[in-house]
Amino acid sequence: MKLSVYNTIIEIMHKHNSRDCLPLIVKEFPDFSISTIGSIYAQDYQKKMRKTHHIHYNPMKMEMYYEQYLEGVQNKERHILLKISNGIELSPALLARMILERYLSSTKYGGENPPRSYVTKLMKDNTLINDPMLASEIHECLVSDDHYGPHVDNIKQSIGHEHECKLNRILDSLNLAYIGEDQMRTRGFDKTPDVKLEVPFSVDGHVINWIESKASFGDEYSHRGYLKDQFWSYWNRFGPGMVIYWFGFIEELDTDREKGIILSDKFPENIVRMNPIMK
Amino acid sequence: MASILEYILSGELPVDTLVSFLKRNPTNEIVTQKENIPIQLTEFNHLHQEFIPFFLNYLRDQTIHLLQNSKSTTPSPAKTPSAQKLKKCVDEKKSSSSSSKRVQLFGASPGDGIDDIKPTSGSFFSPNTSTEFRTPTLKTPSNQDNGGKGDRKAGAVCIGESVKSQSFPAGRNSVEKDHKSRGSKSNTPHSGSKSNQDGRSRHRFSLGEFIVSPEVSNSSGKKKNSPFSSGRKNERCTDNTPSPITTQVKSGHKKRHSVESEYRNFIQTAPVFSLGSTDEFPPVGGDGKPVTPRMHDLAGDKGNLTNMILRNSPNFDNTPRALKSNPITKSRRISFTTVSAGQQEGSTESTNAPSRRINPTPVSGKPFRRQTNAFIEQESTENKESSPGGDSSHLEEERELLRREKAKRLQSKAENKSEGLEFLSCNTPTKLLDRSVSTVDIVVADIAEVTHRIELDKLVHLYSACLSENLFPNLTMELYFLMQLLTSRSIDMELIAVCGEDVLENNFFSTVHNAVFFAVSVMTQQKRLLQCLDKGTLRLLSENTRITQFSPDLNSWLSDILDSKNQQFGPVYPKSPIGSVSFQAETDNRKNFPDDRTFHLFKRQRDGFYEILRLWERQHMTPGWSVSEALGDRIRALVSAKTELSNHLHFARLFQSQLIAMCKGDSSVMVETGDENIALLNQLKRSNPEKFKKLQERFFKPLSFGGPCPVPAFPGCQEFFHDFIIAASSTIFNQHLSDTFASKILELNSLNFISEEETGNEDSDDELKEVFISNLFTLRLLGKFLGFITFLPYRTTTKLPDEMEATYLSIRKNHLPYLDLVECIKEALTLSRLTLTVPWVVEFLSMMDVVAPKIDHFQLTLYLLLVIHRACWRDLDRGSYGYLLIVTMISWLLDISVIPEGFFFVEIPVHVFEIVSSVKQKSTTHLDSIGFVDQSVYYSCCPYLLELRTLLTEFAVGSSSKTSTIRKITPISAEDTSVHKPSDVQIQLQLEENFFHNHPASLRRCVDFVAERTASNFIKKFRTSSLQTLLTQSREALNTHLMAQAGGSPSGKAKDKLQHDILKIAQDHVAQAKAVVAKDVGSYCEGRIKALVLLLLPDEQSESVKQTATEISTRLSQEKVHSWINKHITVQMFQSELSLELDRILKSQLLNQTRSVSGPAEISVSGNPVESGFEVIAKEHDDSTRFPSDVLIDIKDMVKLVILKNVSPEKIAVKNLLVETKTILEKRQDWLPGIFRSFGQLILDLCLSLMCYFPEDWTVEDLDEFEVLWTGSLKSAIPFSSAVNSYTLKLLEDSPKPKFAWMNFEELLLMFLRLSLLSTSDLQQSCLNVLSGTQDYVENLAVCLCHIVEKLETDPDHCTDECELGDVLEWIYQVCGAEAPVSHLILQTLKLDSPPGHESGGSVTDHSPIRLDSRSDSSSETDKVHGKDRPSNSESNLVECLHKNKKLCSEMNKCSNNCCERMDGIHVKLDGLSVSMQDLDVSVPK
Repeated sequence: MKLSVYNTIIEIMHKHNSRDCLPLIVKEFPDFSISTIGSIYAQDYQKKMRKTHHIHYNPMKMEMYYEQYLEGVQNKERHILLKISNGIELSPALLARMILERYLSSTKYGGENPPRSYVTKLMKDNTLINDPMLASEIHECLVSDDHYGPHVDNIKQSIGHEHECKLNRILDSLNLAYIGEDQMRTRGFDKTPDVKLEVPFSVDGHVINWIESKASFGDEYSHRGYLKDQFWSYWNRFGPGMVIYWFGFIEELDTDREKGIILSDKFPENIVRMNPIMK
Repeated sequence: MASILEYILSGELPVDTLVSFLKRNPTNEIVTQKENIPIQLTEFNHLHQEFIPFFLNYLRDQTIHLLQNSKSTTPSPAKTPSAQKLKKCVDEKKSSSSSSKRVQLFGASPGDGIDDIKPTSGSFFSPNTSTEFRTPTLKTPSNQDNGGKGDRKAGAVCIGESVKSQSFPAGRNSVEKDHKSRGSKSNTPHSGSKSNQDGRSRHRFSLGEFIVSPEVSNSSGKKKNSPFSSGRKNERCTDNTPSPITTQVKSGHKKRHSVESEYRNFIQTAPVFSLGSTDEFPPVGGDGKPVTPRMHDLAGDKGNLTNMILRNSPNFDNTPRALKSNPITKSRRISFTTVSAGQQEGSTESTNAPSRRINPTPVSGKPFRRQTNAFIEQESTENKESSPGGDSSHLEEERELLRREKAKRLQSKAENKSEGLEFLSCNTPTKLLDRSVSTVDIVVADIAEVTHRIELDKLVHLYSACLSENLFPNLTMELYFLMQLLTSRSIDMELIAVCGEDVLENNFFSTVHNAVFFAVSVMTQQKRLLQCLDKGTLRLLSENTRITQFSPDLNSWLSDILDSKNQQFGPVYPKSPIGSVSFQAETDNRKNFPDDRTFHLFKRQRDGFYEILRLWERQHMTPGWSVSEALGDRIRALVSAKTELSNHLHFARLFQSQLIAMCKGDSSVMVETGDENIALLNQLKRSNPEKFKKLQERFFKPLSFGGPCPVPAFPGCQEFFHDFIIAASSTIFNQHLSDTFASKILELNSLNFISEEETGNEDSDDELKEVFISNLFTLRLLGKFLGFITFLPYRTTTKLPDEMEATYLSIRKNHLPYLDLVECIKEALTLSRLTLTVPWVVEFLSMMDVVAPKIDHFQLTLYLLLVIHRACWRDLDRGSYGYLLIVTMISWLLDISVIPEGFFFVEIPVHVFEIVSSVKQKSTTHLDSIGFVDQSVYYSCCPYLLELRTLLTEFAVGSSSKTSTIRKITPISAEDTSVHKPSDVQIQLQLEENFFHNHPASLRRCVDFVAERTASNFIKKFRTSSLQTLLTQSREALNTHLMAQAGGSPSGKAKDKLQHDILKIAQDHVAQAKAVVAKDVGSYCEGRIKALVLLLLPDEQSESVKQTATEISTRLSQEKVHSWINKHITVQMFQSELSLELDRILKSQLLNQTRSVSGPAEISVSGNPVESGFEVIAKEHDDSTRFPSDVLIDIKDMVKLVILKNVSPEKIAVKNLLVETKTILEKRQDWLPGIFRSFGQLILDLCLSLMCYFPEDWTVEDLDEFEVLWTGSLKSAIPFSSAVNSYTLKLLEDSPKPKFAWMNFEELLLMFLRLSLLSTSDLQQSCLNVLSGTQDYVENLAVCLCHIVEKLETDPDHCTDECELGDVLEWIYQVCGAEAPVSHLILQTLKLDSPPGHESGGSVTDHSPIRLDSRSDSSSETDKVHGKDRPSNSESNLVECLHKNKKLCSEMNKCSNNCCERMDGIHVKLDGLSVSMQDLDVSVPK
């Protein structure tokens, strides 16, 4: 995806400010799948959350939100948290967690912050929340949030896993030997790509020693982060390799081909295998 | 010395005699063979030391006017050496220091502008001219010059002479200094950086005073620069011996200044000045024979000129400093100063001083310059006729000048703005400049015009003979010189103008024709050397029109050679795809580090290092970017932050590996084929030569290696490593690097390339050659870097005071270098592997600091190299390029500035010869004679040879490009070729030794190899299988042990006690491991090795040999395995693993404890099956199904739709989703526990919300598809027990039809219970959980539960006695009070005739603590249930139950009084109420 197209898409998303626009965008840009557009939306949404994080996460604000919630409870309103989250443009799940923290803090921990792990546990299993009002409010938030929350985490994790499996199946079907992360870890590797090829192959004249599967769209922010934390580390250890952004990427980011990191949005078809006989 | 040359020229002394005399080893032969010395030579004791420098300087001086135009004027060869020995310099420190004082005295002399300059200038020794005076009869050029000089001094010949004779020593000094100033000054624009040279010059200076040797170079210097030098000379004289001619001198001196500014002028505009123009060397000073109007003017109007100059002179315009601090002149005389200058400035500084733009001298320069230009115009027209090269019309030239002036101004403006810009503009000459360059020049050399053939022939003979005998210090320089002559373009018109016909008559090189003749003649005699040049150079030579004209023979010979010569493609290290050093689990994994911290630290170090490297790659070409500024902090953090020894070791190794990978092939820039193979270009060349030329000009960027004798530098990627070390400035890091480098050098240096066995095997030879070349390059690289680090602490930019230096030297004397270079060289001599060792030693030494050469060890090494330099030449014919490489490299080393000048001519101490001669060559291996070094290797190691090609190309192209291009060398990395060295095997049995001894070595290699690989494979297998099992077992053992102790919850304190137990477990398992190995290793190794050895050994080998080999190999491999096991499978290893496990257990338990303490709600819901036992069901994978994530998203969206939008989904849609879920569960393998759990939760959520929001549409009957999942594949994911929870109850209450919703819910729970998805005890537990939080929905829940109990009882399929809902109902009863409507129902459900608290009412407090007992009285049924059920409960459940029950008990006590009182009344009303029970759910207040 060209950067310009990407920017246009982002613009449309900002105009609509909701996932409802996704089908519209797909209609306008039929080259891209709904998953790609969805991934872009999610990344953009997360970007927004990161940017506004500091606004919400200060004690004053948090206390204010909690009081708003209590007020709503008093007034027997419904969908209180969703309303608040809409108003302050904060992810419902994040708000839910915040409120839960405040709640636990004021009811059980005497103003102290509850242990994170405990909060996480309650977020994962709302049935453990005693207050029916809060439990159902939080449950609502979690069900309605498309970007945060335990379910979304599981979905994301699963998408990643599904595509890793997909990659593995492709490699299996092509009879390309490789070792996976787990094997590498048991062998004591300190950095482990999804796949390290036992016998390298080449794509467009670039040698591939390892493949990283990324079930997301490769935008600038995420790619830069990955480069720093993962891809270069792999390169540092195993030489050149390939990243598959299954949901596409901004073409302009594919600048490190010569240096040894090539980007792709699928498993390349034109691979050249090693042939020791021909030399 | 000049007299000798005279003898030669006159034929009195045969050239061969002189050469053979020069050739002699001075130390032993001179004395013994004195009688054979020709009479002419007897006077000279140090002939061999003095004649060569004299001769070289003579040649340079004679030809200097021809060489001006070439790109690199300064790197004219030959370091004029001192006849004095290095040692003397050291010894005579005192005198030198005193002399330096004197120098300062000079400096203080009043009114003398140049005095400030002279003392600081560097010097070189100039052979003396005293011969002139001794043999005055001879008409030497110098004499001539003297005369001229005298003339110039406005007729004050006698004064001049008298001065000269009066103050001879001083005069010589001064001249010497002049040379110094001219020589080095010109190339050292930074006055601050001169100290280095300065130091040396002072020694020399002082020595010059003591040793009376004739000053030849002086005379020759005068020859060219005559007016100035003579002026200066006189000046100096007057300084020392005041004489009446002061004023005269003064004016002369001022004139010199004008010259200087002229020079600046020249330098600044260097790229554009045409050769023919006299602008460069304007005549200054009165000349007896004015040739041009300008000359005339100058002579006649001296006063005017002087005034004018004075106005512009430093003393006059109040900006003296500006002038003085500027480089004064560009030496027209030969000097070697390029090197020294560059060296001082640092390696990155452009070494091509001439092309450097020198900062403009603001005020003084410009007006004067313009004036001069005006003169030139005049002059050039005048000169037109006499200048063969002047072909452009003078109008054109005038315009050109104007344009240039304009461009210059623009440039100087730009320069003021930024340095970087200056740099750039320097690198990219404007088109304008190019044009002007290409239009001028090209003198057609004509053999017919050659004069002085006889003398020239003699000179050719002498020169060529010296060249053949390697009497010149630097071969490259001489070749370069020849090329310069060959390509010379014009003559210095001014010289002719000044000296008139005499010059032409007496300078044998006065014309281009003569110079070319000389060069071509020498080349004709030096075919052997020419043959060594690369094809590109040879092609250029063969295409050279001058050669064609002067020597058709040479030309045809060149063509032949060219045809026969194959272009050698050098050691190409193709850009390896792997730019990094690979991670090797064997050396890099956690086991190679003492602890996790260091391991992870190194992980970060590695990544950090590469990140820095990448940043450098991206940035280092950016002007103004510097490593230390931009990355210094990061580098220092990387190298020093919290690092442990192991990190240093690993990092140094990584650093080294990366260095080798990136830089080994760096120097192989060469042999980018001089072939113009591209058809198109060839065609163009033929069809449109003009266009081709233009194109070539535009693309042509001369390879610049900084002249034929460049400063040691760190080109390409080496720069990164160099800068990294500097920026890191960590002594610890440097120490480890040194260790690593040194050991690597020794390892590579001692590698054996020649195996005794292989002979004539082509393939292996090629391989060996490859290894050799790779090693050679690696060694050079490491040698250089080791040298760099070794001498880094001693680097200085400022000169130490002489006294200090002595002290300092004595302090450093005891310092031993990392590697014993002397030993290395001796060993190399012994083993005939100089081609491998000398290059890296040279690289190492090239990094020396100024003092280092005076330290014994290094001095000795240098001597050794000198001896080798001579010795190798003798062997040159034998061994291809190998010896040539050695000679060239040593020449280069001796010619760079750290080495004391003239070291080449130094007398080698006898003991050095003894060292060499005492070395006995081992006859076995002759690496040097194998010829691994080929041309490409030669050129790779000495890339400066390509400067020859540059000269020729420049000539061919016709442009004199003055750009000093810093060639960007793309990093080339290669795989680490460190050869895998089979580990030494201890062979103890003599028999075995003999066995191998009598068989080919390949057998042993085979056996060793097989043993090693087999052992390694076994170990790997053991590690991944048996060892893992054992580790797991040991962990389990620990777990069981812990469970057995203290009821499974050992406290932190128990840990210490546990250590002993762990030790025991570890010991057990080590024993087990060894047993396993002992059992397996035999069969494993035997089987494999037998097969392998049979495969690998030659067929004709006898069976018994094969058998023996197999056995040995098997034994060896077993030994290896056992030693590995003993080393690695230790009790400690198990202990540490177990300790980790223990920590983990304790931690998790601690966590559990804190959690259970943290809140009452934190009662773990019994049995979360998902966490523990998730397994993928699908046996095969079906890609056509949707991703789990996709389906889950749909389900989630559906739940959202119901809850938030209150939209009832189509039943079919729900059904489809559920069916799909079932499908993907069965057909997909890419499931993760997390999403599986989410599926469970969301499907239950979906079900509940459907039943609550649309209770009429969704009843239990509609849940078939759900049921399939619940009972099927999703069973373990669904938290059935948490179906009863606060928000679900709220959902039920909020339902539009609560009654229906509750009924649905009731049915659902019943269904769960019936399907055994939920037990009544779990249900009760979750009810209690909910009720402990809220009691809002208690009545409806109670009713619901009552119905469930009832229905279960009536259900024939369900075993009633398992119902455990009594507790919660009782509890509800208590809470609500006996009068609450629901209480009756509860009583009824529980079939209690009397209220349960009736009996216990009064005696609650008397009941035993455990309520279960008390309740057993009141409820026999539940008692039974409990009695049965209790043992089956897990312990933890029991504890929780007790806890819960205690709580209930207390609550019950609270309300028991109330209960008792109301009990009777309730009892009566119960029947009536139960009738209206159906409405209860509606009527209960919310």
